[in-house]
Amino acid sequence: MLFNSLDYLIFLPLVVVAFYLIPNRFRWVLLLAASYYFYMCWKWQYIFLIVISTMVDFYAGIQIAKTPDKKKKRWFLLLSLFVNLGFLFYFKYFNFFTENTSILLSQFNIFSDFKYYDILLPVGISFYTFQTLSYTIDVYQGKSEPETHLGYFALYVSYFPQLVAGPIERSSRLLPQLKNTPKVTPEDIRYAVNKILLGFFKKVVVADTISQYIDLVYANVDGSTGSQLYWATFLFPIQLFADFSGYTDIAMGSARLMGVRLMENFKKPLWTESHGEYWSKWHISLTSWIRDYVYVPLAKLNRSKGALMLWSLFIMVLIGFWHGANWTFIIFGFVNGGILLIQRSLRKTPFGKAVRSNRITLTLQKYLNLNLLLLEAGLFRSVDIHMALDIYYKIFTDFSLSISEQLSLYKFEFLMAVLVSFLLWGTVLFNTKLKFKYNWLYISAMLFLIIFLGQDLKNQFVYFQF
Amino acid sequence: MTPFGSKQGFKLFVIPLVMAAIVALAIDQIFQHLVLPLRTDISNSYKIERLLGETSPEEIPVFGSSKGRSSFIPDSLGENVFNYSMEKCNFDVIFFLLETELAKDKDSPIIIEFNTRSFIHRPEHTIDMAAFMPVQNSEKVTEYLAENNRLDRFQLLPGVRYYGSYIGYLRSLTRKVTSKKITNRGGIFIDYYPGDELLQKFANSRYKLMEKREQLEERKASGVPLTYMEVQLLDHLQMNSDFANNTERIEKFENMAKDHPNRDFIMVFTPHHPSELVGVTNLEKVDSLFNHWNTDISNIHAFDYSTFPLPDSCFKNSSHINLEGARRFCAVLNDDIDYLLNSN
Repeated sequence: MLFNSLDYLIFLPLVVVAFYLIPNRFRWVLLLAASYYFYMCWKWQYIFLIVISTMVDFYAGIQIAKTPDKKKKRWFLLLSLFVNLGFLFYFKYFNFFTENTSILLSQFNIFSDFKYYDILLPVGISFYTFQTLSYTIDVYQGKSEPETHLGYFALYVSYFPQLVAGPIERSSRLLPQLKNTPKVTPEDIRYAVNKILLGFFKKVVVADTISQYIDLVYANVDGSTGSQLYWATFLFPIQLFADFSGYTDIAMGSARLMGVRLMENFKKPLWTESHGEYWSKWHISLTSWIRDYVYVPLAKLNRSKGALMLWSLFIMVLIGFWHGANWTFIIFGFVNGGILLIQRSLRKTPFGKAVRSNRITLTLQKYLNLNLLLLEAGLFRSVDIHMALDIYYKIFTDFSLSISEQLSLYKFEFLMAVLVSFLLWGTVLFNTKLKFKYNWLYISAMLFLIIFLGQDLKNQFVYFQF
Repeated sequence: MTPFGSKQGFKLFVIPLVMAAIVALAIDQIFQHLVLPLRTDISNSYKIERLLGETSPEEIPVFGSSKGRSSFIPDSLGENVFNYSMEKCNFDVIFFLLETELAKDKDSPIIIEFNTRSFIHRPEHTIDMAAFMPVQNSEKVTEYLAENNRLDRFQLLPGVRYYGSYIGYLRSLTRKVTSKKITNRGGIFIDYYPGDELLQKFANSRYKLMEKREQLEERKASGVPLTYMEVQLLDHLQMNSDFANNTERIEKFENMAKDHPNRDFIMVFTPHHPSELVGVTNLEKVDSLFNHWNTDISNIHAFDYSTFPLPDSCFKNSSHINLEGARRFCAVLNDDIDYLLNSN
């Protein structure tokens, strides 16, 4: 079930009303049933993956806490890692590895009988796998107590507002909220309604409108000019931000209606002075997960300057690869990591300090960083490396400021994309001023924009595919 | 007490829902009563509505895609011609238009724009919901949409039925005021040539894609494995560049024609920029189909103008001719089909 569907607009109020009508001790049953139903609306068979992950991690968590033997603890942790990462590997990376192995072998004239398996990627598998893994690792490291109630644990793994695209919540944060009687204040309801409206606006008005232009240009790279490709690439991060943060807003609002506070996943990431700052403000739940469970353990192994740089580069590549089984994502991670390291080195130089001490040069630095981020988006959006290279080649060799050339193809779609980008910018300012107080004018304006400008494309959220 | 613990909480939750319903209904009604009546004859929804209600026995309808819309000038072909062509429209929609037209007590001929993708079955792409929503009360329309899996239950509700289409309707209203566009009984013709350089770019893009297709096919044939993306691209290129020889759908059309011997069906393969025909590897199938129609079915008349000699200046882009191109084409077409248009 998509958040941007009428089905969800019926489903959510029904669940919320039922939630408040039944006693607290039965609420987990309702939410678990609702969460499983929510997931099964997409492809019911894949619920078994979630159930298996849940059972394995529930069992592993209890066994890890119960046994004093460190070796056994490690075996149970490995069991959890094997099952969860095994599913992830099979559904997301299997074809990529066999395909590339086959291509590599063909370079030595060994033609293996490679067959592409038409495996449908389970929605949200990377999100719930990371969420449930964090639980087992936390229990193993003694940071969390194991959950002994299977129902609550199953709900933690599958809680519908954040099941398919995060935020990736830690058990120490989400489980107590699911178990306690929620104290929902009128302020929570205000916050929830405003967040849900903002999320819908970002998704159906901004992201889905911009995507129409980008999809047309990227579907016709050879026929598009360098400037059209530049603008499509430039607009893509705005689409991605509106799409993903829109999803998170709806998730946070939905959860808050039932008294659950999900973590913030974005903090105005696009206007930042470096890639390091950007990644600390974009998809925070993923980057903090990788920091805590990959970077920190690696840094404990070797803290030398060179090693830390290598670990940083490695985790950026890992973040890239997390997004999808494609060389474009790996190179995207590598480029991000490279720029991050260069920026980090420059930061400590007198030049770097001077730039940051002056407001104008700092603004220029943020602008430069924004452009680097936008250009990297070409890799993220391209279906393969050849396409990405074609796009960059055209952007750098065929760029023109001519408005008539820019509007020669997809004029209407381009102008609509620019319009909604400004609307997005406008509402961000509007919200800061309102500080999420209930304002009927704001609600009416949002409703009007969503209904009037909203796209009925039934587009999935971009991050569902990850 | 309410489920939210306080009346205020309940109010805060319910009022936005009620407001949403009110705003949606208000926009729906304003649109229904103030905006939709302003539609002109180039609006797709107007065309559907017109076809359902039009009873003039003399009217000669033209069905087709955006190529048809920009190629057939009704004034050049006759006073009774109306151009019902719509963007992306192929036989997914034309079957519905034909069924509607053939149910009428008429003898006039029907002109159908033909292209290599006419018989591809992709209703999710070819059926423009905005065109059908204003006539959703028609049983025929709801049946047709349901058959093609294009009808969601919510689309029948006032308040949400036009959701996602408002801007599209407004866009078709503004078309009339664009100076370079000339409209004529459903047809839209643009007095614009993009210039040699830009047109060459469009053509080059086609050549490159076809080159890519050849390379991929060669690699595949030599046993070198293709990546998943390459397999997808090759499928896409083959599907979109070759003639879709969907025999089941072609037969369905032929049967419709045979069942209505009193109507002439004029199939016209409209002029294409030379680059558009590069890479169509099975054009001979179009030739044999046209031969079959012309020799075996007495009331289907097929005309191939795909290689009609037009200079580059007669093209709006590599896929569509411009006003000058349409004028030149229609002058010749009119002579060629005059005997059919005026036979009744």
